[in-house]
Amino acid sequence: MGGPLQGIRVVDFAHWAVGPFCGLLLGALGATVVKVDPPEGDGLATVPPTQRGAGTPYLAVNLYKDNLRLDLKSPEGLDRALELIREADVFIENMSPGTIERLGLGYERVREVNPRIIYASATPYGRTGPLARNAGIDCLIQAFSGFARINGTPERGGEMLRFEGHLDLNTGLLLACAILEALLQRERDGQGRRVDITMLGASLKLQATRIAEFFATGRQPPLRGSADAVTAPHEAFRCQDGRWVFVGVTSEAQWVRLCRALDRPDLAQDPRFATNPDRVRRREELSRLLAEVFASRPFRWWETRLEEQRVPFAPVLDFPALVEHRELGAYLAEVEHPLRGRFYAAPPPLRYSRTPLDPPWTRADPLEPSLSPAEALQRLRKPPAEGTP
Amino acid sequence: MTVLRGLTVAELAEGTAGPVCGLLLAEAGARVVKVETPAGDRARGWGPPFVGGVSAVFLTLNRGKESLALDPSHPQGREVLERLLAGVDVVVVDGDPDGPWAEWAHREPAGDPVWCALPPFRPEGPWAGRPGAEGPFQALAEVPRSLGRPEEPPLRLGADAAETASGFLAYLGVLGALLHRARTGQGQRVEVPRAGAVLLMRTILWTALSRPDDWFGVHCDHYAYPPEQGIRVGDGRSIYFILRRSTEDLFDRLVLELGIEWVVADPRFADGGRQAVGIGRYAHEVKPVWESAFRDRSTEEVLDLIRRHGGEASPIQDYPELFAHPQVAALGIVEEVETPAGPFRALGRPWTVEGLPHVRLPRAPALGEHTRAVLARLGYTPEEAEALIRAGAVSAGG
Repeated sequence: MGGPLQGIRVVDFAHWAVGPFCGLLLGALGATVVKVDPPEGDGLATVPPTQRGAGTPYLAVNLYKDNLRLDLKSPEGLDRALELIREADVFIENMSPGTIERLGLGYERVREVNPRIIYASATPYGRTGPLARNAGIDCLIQAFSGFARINGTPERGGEMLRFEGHLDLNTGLLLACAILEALLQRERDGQGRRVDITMLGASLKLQATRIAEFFATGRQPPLRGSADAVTAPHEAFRCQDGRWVFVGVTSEAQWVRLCRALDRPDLAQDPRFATNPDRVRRREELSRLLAEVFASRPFRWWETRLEEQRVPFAPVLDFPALVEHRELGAYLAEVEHPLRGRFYAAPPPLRYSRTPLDPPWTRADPLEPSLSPAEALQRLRKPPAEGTP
Repeated sequence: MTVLRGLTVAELAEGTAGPVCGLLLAEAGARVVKVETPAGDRARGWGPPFVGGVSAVFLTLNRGKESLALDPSHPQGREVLERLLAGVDVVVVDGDPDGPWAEWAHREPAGDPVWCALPPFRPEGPWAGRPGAEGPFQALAEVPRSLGRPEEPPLRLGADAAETASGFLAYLGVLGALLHRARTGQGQRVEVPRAGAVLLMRTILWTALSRPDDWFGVHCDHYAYPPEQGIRVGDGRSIYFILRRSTEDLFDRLVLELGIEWVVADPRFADGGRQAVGIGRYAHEVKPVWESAFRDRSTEEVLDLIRRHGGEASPIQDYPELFAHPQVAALGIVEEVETPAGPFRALGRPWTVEGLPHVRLPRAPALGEHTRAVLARLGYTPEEAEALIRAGAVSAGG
């Protein structure tokens, strides 16, 4: 496996999306990842749609892995699990608080077996506090963490992002960062340690810039539709042909160039809109003014002008357009699964010059695990050579 | 003792993505020198709101960093920059093609630093020269299609999801490179094209939409759903809930208590009500049933009722409610630091690493606040420093 984590072995005991996506990222970076599913399979495997009978969300968050099933409630299953753990550098779990301990794989037990292991846990709300025992899913965390109250318009009110597990994946990404910190520290002192993350904390960090607004003003940020909070003009405008264009001016130089693109040099001289704070304070006035200009020509015209003047802009794409797009299509990959056929996924957009990453691959399957327990142990004991997944 | 103690970082980045990466490095204990032009990071002007004349967003993203202000178009300014870059462990460059640091985004580092570039798009692709911004990045990842209604003006996420995720990803990338470097002594270049960040976060959708056996489930259907605003309760607030752990028995008792026991005969409420709530297939359709059941109750009553019957529920909170909630206090994630403009609150890290204490970062720097100190560390004498300041190669403020 190419990548900076080549040689690192991960046992992924997590389920649903948070922990498994963390495992995916470590696998993308070159680690050998083995996912352990319970005897009845991962709960995520039941979420539709399916492709050739297998749940696509499971397929999506379990790239770069092999998987097996173990019954941790049986002595043999638990023994197998501990054998795998003995060979691993990283252990990931995201069960509801107390569960992994009841199954016999709590931190103390695992550390006994392998003191060098990084033991990574994700919980929805944390281990202390009134909600510590609560389970959580992406939408519940959207609701609790304020994420669902900052999207929308004043007329309609706040709404959630439907429904891609955005906060699940965000948590998994930051957990992967925490794990790498612990691995770095292990290089210094040879010790394993535990790392913990909460979906709630991760969601707050994702909203840091909106929360900064709240901390500064003491007030809930207002709903702004397509508009940015602290820069202007930075919103969507309707063109003559009904298509929308998202424009994003974030510097004074870009403002001047936008005025050129709109053939409105007068606006660049207009003292009402001279600086970003002026434009933000007069956002509605500016928006009305610019809306009229954009409505006077079709999208294609504005596309040529904005590109020429190097102003950040984009149309709203959809998936079919994304796949065909000459730039954005490059951020998607078609992955071949041995049982379920070909499907698209977005591999992590990281490129390393000295330790290049392997192209995305997958074998983990929600219905037919790709490894037996014995094969999984072999895989961890002898990770594959560079260049072979 | 912190993870990145002893590590030095040069941050040549404006706005959000690069600075988020730099912030995470600072939170892990690295010394982060933020290199700014004499005009400063454009984000200093991103507001209102302002605190002490500086953008609140800038202040939160740049806590714990030192500010070195120099003019990269001045030959001596460039010398100072090159001397700094030659001695750091990590360089973070935002790679905006129309920004002041574009030239440094393309470097192949000599020696062993980790050189992390965050260009808006792939440098080798057809959009290499294009600048990016949050709204356009969200539009390119079709985020607006997962919000609002198709016949209405498009929306975006209020969070700076694309740029912040780019910063998180860059931090992951840098840590990976640092791990390799710790084992081999080798640095390298890490590139993180920012347009890819939100595309990564939506990967479940791309797989679901590829070749599904049936067009079924929220990942396919949600584009046509109405906005998800939760379920209204009698006192005017809204909640969201699921019934993942309910049983037939618990569900029957729940609907009995709510006075809607007739639903047990409704196939949409089968399987313990799982498809009638949350992201279940019929959830948005049967919402009026729940709302009429909750009409005469308070939020607290409804939450309690659901939780006692195998469900999980949350009110849909705004920030004042959220930050008053004891669970946020239990997390210990909110920090406060004194500044000349008064106490400043910000978020700390959302994860803990056993045995490595949390770094409580000082406030964000004024423009050029650490210019003299950084010059001294780079080996310039005070006289040389003043000469550089007089020449306009660097500026010192704060």
